[in-house]
Amino acid sequence: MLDSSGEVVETDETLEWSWETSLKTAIHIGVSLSEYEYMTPYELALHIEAYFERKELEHHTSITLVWLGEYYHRIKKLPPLKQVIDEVMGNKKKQMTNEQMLEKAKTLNALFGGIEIKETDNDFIRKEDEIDSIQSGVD
Amino acid sequence: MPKTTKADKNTTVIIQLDRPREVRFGHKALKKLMALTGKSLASISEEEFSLEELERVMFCGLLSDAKEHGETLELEQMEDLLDYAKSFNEVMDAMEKALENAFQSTEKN
Repeated sequence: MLDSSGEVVETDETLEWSWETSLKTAIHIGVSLSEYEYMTPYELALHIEAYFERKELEHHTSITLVWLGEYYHRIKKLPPLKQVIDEVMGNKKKQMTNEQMLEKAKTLNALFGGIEIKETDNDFIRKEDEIDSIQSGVD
Repeated sequence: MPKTTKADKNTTVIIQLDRPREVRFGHKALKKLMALTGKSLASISEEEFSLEELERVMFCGLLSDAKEHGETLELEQMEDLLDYAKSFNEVMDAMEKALENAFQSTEKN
């Protein structure tokens, strides 16, 4: 029973248990008689919740399919199916930024035993080369 | 205290009698309980039980376990069976917990 504000008010009438309604609900959601007899009212309530959650998901899927059908009908060029599936499943490869690429290169370098040459070392090497070339000119 | 296991939403209640037995109030047990006691479901958790009624309630609660073990449980056996329990409180506790588990509300509600 609902009060003036629409809230459910528990009365003797609402608290009355109906085996027929309970069993009928179980049948509606696909629970067999033997399963129903074994399960508690709490477990039946869980089955009912899960059933409606699954139904809601199926409903969303149906609407999404219709919407996607209309979407692809309207676009000029249909993308490859694999690309669409990858995008929907979140498998799309992301483009790396310059920083990410540098980090990746550093990691691989360290992994394969490479030496990291810092900017200061480069300057030192350049200066040494310059000295060598001057010396060779003198000679 | 009875050997009951109820962690989080674990609804299993075990009582040590002649062997560990599960107390469970499925729909079949509840229907039998109503037929045997003449009580309504709404009043079951509120009313106090006499010793004789307790035997009937526990008989219904132990039926599914007996079936699983291929036993035929009779109401007449209950007096002897419940004597295996350490105390009367242990039986009461197991019964209350099993009834509470059977009628608890889901997390959503």
